[in-house]
Amino acid sequence: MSQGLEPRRPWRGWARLCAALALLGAGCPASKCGRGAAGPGPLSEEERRAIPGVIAFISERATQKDVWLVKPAGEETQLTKSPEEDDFTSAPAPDGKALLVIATRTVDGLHLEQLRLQPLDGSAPVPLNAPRARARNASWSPDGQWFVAESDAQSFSDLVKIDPKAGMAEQRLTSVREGCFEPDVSPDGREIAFVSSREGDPEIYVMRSDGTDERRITAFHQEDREPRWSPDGKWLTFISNREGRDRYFLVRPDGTQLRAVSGGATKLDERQLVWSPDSQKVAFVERLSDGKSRIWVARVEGGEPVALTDGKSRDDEPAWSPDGKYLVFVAERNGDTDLWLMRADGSGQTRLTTAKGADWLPRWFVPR
Amino acid sequence: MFTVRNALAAVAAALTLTACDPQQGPESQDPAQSPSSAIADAAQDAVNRGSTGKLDPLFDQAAGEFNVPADLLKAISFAETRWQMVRGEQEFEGMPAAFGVMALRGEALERGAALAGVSAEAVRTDALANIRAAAALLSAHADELKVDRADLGAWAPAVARLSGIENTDAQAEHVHKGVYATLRDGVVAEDADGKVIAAIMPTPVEAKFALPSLHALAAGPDYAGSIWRASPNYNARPAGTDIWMIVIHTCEGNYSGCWSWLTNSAAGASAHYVVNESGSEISQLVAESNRAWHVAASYSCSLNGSVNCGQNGVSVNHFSVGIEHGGFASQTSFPAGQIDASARLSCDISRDRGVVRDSYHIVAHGRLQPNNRTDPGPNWPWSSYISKVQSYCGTTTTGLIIDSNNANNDTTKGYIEVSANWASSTNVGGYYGSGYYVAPTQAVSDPATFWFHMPAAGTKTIDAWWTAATDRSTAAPFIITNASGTKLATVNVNQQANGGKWNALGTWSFPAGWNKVQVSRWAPTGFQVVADAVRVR
Repeated sequence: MSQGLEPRRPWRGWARLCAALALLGAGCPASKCGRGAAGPGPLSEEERRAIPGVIAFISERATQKDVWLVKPAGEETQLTKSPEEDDFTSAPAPDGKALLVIATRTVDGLHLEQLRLQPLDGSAPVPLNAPRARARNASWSPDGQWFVAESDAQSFSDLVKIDPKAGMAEQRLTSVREGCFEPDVSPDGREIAFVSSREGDPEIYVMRSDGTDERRITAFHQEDREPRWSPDGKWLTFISNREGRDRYFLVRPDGTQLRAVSGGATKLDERQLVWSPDSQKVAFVERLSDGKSRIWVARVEGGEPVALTDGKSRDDEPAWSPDGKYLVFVAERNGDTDLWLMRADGSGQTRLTTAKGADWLPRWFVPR
Repeated sequence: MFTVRNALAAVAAALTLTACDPQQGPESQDPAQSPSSAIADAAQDAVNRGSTGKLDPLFDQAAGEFNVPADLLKAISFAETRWQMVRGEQEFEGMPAAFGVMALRGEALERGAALAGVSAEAVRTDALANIRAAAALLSAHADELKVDRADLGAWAPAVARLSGIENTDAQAEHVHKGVYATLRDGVVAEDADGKVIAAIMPTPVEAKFALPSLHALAAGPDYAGSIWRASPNYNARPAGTDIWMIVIHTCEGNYSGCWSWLTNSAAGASAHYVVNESGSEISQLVAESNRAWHVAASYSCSLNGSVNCGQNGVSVNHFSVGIEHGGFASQTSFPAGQIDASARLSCDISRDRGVVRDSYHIVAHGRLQPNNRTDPGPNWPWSSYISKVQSYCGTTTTGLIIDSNNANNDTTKGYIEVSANWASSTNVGGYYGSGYYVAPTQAVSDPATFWFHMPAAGTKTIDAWWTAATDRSTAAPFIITNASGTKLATVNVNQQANGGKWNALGTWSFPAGWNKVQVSRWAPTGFQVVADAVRVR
C-alpha cells in the first residue's frame, strides 16, 4: 500500500468540475432515453448475425427451469434437460466448452443444490459436489483449472476451491463462523475478492488464491457486498448501503480511490453491475418504484452515467457481448419476461426470446 | 397509488371542509392518536397499488346482485388483501394460491366462479369478477346457514365459512378482529388525487359469533410480545446445530388463516412466528430451539412420522428461524407497522441466537434459491428492514460513528463540518467509509469538527480512526468540547502509526445536546492531519 504523501491538488475543484459536467448534460435526460432515443430499431437480421458469441439463460417455458442457449440472431437450443430439477446458469468455463450450472431439487422436503459442469455439446453434465443446501456463486480461475464457490459442506458458508472434475475433493480456503460469501477470482488468478461478516457486518476482503495473506478493503458499519474485479484487474466494484440505499462503488485493489459509480444520476437502489470487457465501463440497474427498473452505463474514468432504457418497464440483468458493443438484458414488456438485445448506447432494442414463460439470467460468452 | 385513512377522521374532515386537502386533514397530524389508526397505518403502504381503480362501484354492484351487504364485502376484502388485486402463490403444500381483492382460492374460487357465471380465469384476474364470485359464494353460505340478511352481525358465520379457516379460534380472530373490527372502525382509501377508491363508514356492529377462547393468550416461550399458538409441525434440530439464519416468508393469505393452517397437523408445515398485517399481533408456533418446517417442508415429511425430515442431508430448516407475514409476495409494499414489528422480532431472535444482522443471515424465502427473478423479493423493503433490525439491536459496532462523509451519516445524530482548506482524499487506504479529510499543519484555528448529539447526559469513550502515512503529524491534536462549550481535553496522537483502526482517545462525561470532537491543524508544521471518523461509545 502506498505511503505516499497527500497530493496538494484541491479536491473541491475536481468536484466542481464534475458538477459542471453534470449540468452541461453529460448523461441522458430521462424523457429521451431508451426506446425514445433508440433510433431506428430493432436490429437488422444482418447486424444480429455479425454479433459474436452465444447467450446461456434460464427458461421457464416448461414447468421446471432449464438452461437454454440462444445466438444473437435468435437460434435457440436447450442445454439442460432434467424434468425433476431446476437448473440455474452459473459461470461459463474459460475454455468456452462448458458452462457451470446449479441444479436444484427437493428431496424428502429438502432443498438441495449441486454444481455441475455442463458441456456445450449437450453431453451428460459432470456433478462437482454432493447435493447440499447451498452451492453457489462460482468464479473461475483464468486458466479454467479450478474455480471457487460458496459451500456449506463443513460450515455455514465458507469458500472452497474446486477442480472441475467428478469426484475431486474440495479445498477449503476460509474458516469463518459468520461466513464468507460471493468470491470473485482476479483476472490474473492470483487473488480472490470476497465478503465476510466476521466483523458483524459484511466487508470486502482480498486474499491470495491459496487462502493466505488476507487484507481488508472496506471498513464501514453497514453492508459492503458483491465484489467484482474489472477485467484488467485495476479496479474492484462493490455495492454498499452506506448512504442509505444500495449503490455501487469503485475502489482500487489496495483500498484507495473509493468513489460512487453513479455520481448524482441515480436516486434509488442499484443492482446487477457488470463490467464491460474493455474495463472502461460498467452497466448496472436502478430499481424504480412500482416494480420497474432501468439500465445505466457509467464510464470508469468518471462523468455522469447514461441511461440506456427508459424506466417504463422492468429492465434487468444486463450482460455485455464479448466485443463490448452490445448488451443483452431481461425485460418485462408485453406481459412476458424475455431476453432483449441492444447496442451499448441503448439503441436498437430488440426482443431476442419469444417463448411463453420467463427467460432470464443471461451469460454471454464465446463457445469453442 | 392510494392511501388509507381512518373513516371517522375522514368524515370529520369532509364535514368541515368541502374540498379538503388530505394532507391538511386533522387525521394526518397525528395518526398515532387515532384509536383505529392501527388498521389505517398498516394499510397505508400496503395499498399503494398504482393500477387499482375505483372499487366501491364494483362492491356495490356485486352486493346488489347477490343481496349481500356491500360494507361486509368491502370489510372481508380489506381483511384479506387490503383491497389489493393479489396474484397469490402457493406458499404451503395443500393450501392453493389466493387471487384477487377477495383472496379466493382453490375449490372456493371455482365454486364462486360457477355461481357468478364467469370463468375461473376471470375470477383470478378481473376485480369485478373476483368480487362477484365472492359475493355469490357469501350469499350461498348465507342460504346454507339461514342468515337473517337484514342483520349485519348475523352474517358472521357466513364470513367464517367464506374464509376457509377451519380452526375455531382462528375463525373467531378473523371474524372479530379482522372483518368486524374493520366495519366498526371504518376505513377510507383514496387515490393520489384524493378521490375515494373504497370506503367503509364506521358501523356499531358486533359479530354474532363465539369470541376467541382466552386460553391461547399465553406469551410465546421465546418472545414476550407474541401469543403462543403451538404447532405440532416441528421436530428437534440435529444435535449441535447452531442457528445461523432468519428466513422471511409471506403467508400468501391473511394472518388468522396463516397461523390456523400452520397449527394444523394436516399442513405438514410450520414457522416459528407469524406476524399480522398491521404488526399489532405476533403468534409463536414453534420454540426457536426446535426445528420448524418452513423451508420446503412437504407432506412426505410429516407422513413419514416426521422421522426422516432432514436426516439425510443439510436442510435450511436445521439452522434457521422462520417468520411468516400476513400478506402476499405480490403486494407492491408492506405496511410500516408490520415491518416494524417484524424487525423488532428479528432483533430479538438475532440477539438470543447470535445471528449476524446482515442480508446474508436475514434472508427472503426466495433467496434460498441460487437465483431468483425477483430476488430479494420484489417489494419487501430489504435495506430498511435490515437497518431497522440493526437500529433496534445495534450492530456489533457499538456506539455512534460519525464519518468524514456526511452522505454516510445520520445528520440528526452526528455530522462533520470542515472548511474549504481541508481536502477530501482516498489516497491512502484503510480509511473508514468512503474517504477522509486531510489538511496541512499550521498555526491556525481551522479544525475539522465531528459533531455528535447526546439525547441525554452520559459518560462516553471517544475513539478516532485515521489513515497512517509518513507525511502525517506525530502530534495531531484532537480537542474534545462539550455541549456547553467547555473544552474537556486535547489529546495529541501520532498519525504515522495505528492507521485503519479505532484508537481510544479517552472517556469523558457529556451533557445532553451537541458535543464535538475537533481535529486541529495547530501542530508542528510540515505534516498532515487526518480527520476520518470518530466513534462515541
